[in-house]
Amino acid sequence: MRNYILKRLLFTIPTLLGVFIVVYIVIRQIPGDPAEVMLGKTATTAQIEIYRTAHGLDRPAIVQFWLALKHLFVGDLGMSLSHYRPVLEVVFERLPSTIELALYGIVISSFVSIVLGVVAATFRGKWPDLIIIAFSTLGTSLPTFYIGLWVLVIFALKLGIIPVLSNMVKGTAYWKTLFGPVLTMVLGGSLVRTTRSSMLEIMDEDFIRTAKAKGVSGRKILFKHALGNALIPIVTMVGYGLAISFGGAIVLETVFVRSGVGKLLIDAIGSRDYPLVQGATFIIATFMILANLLTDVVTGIVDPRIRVAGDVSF
Amino acid sequence: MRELLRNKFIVIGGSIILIIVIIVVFAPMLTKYDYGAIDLPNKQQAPNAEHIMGTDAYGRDVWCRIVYGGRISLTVAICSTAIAMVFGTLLGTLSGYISGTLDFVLGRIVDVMMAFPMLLLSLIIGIALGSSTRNMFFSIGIPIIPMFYRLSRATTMSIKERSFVTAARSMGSSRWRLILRHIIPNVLPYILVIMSSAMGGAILAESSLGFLGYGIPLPTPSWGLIVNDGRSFMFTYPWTTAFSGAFIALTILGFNLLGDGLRDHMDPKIRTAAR
Repeated sequence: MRNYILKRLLFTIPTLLGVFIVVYIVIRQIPGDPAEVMLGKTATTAQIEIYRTAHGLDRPAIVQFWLALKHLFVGDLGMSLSHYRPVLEVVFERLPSTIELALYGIVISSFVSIVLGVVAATFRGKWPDLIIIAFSTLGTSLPTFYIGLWVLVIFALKLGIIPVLSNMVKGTAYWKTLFGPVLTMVLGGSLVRTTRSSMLEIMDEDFIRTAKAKGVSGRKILFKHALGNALIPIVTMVGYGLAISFGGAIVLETVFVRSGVGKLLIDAIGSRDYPLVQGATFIIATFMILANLLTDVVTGIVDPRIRVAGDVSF
Repeated sequence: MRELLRNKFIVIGGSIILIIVIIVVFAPMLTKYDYGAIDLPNKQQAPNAEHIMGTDAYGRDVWCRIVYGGRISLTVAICSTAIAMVFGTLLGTLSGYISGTLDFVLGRIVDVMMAFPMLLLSLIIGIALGSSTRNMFFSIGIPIIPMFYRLSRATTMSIKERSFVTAARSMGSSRWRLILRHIIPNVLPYILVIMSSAMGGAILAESSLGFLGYGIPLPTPSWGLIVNDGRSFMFTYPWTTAFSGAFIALTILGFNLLGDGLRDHMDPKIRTAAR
């Protein structure tokens, strides 16, 4: 097991490096002189010259990249042009808000999804099943921003339960700042159908029939035998859902005006603060990689077969 | 074919897509206004007989903008999915067939691409390329490549072990002939199945980019842009966003259902479980 985790950790290093290279190259494709792009429109000629020498922009491309890489290793992602502070500092300040949203969102929406999925599987083909399937199919098809906007209109405007600007208003109860985005994630819940189909698949297995034949109670079969086994694909989906929610935060935080990394990134693009765009993108991707890694390790612990299969592919 | 039509998902999803395509293609016959015609005295009207979906903040007919906007959004979805499919399938098939170094290198590149949230990758490719309809094909298409790459790689790896491929090889078929004549035709059905989901994903990406304010530049009304137009007035006048968002959702729903149906159809194990 330890070897497996170590191996997976080792494999994230080239991926992280690749992510950095991609972001580095992409940001440098923006038309215009990199010094001018990085310093913004207000920079003077003298500032641009200083920046050029300081960042080695007058040197060959490969040397420049090497410098950027060296800076990365000491945790220096440059200075933000709109915040006038180191990029990493600005990003880390906003990170807790995004992590909080992702965790609450994924835990609550997964719980609701799993419950609904189990109910649907139990009533296979009957009306509760059909209703749940219809709503979850609709939910997964609705764009996040669309659900979010309606949650805002209904709960902030019509009912006045939550503030329109989630965590910007001082003195708002904690749960109110999370209510809107989390409800949006619940309504978009994509796990219902995964849970239902893996439950149904398990219910067709021989050992369930054996349990039934032995006279095990229906409830025990459902929760212990079926759900226990169906949990492996579900756990995987929850983990990948967590990874995806770091990306989903971009839209959610924009809709609910939450000051997280996603909103920070969108604002940075708007104000052409490219060092911050580069930094925030890199951090979001890093978290996504870590969430995926965590998922693989957890499923590896839950289901040893995956661990072995994973070893072969390396 | 008859078997295909027996699948409820395929029938419902397919019909939704067909209706939307018909509406979009026959747009000029279904509208009596110009999608750009500004009519300030009649701005932000609720749906009525004259404007069945109301008017936006500039008095433009929303139904008309949605119908014409569908042309842009569907074009973007088709072209970006096509780009993703061609590159993803080709590279995935090569990777699966040749394996070795090529497979390793491409695999790591795909790992890196998948480390980004799709929307984020679209965003940064978009800002690097600059905003235009053609660049949008790439900024939305490139993040979808891994989806096709992984599926075609996995499928190729299982197909190349099958006896008809070995037979063709032993008869002296060249590597390229093998890939083009024997492998790709057998990979394609699987690819076509996920194409539907990819189209839905592309529609979602386009509208999300539009919502975030990084869509196709004015005055072309794409669905994402119409949503964004209405967003500022969401609290006082939600109609514009409501109708354009509903069209986006309906289209994605159609593609998702079609995709689910096709996948069930391809995989008999799921087929029995779903019933």
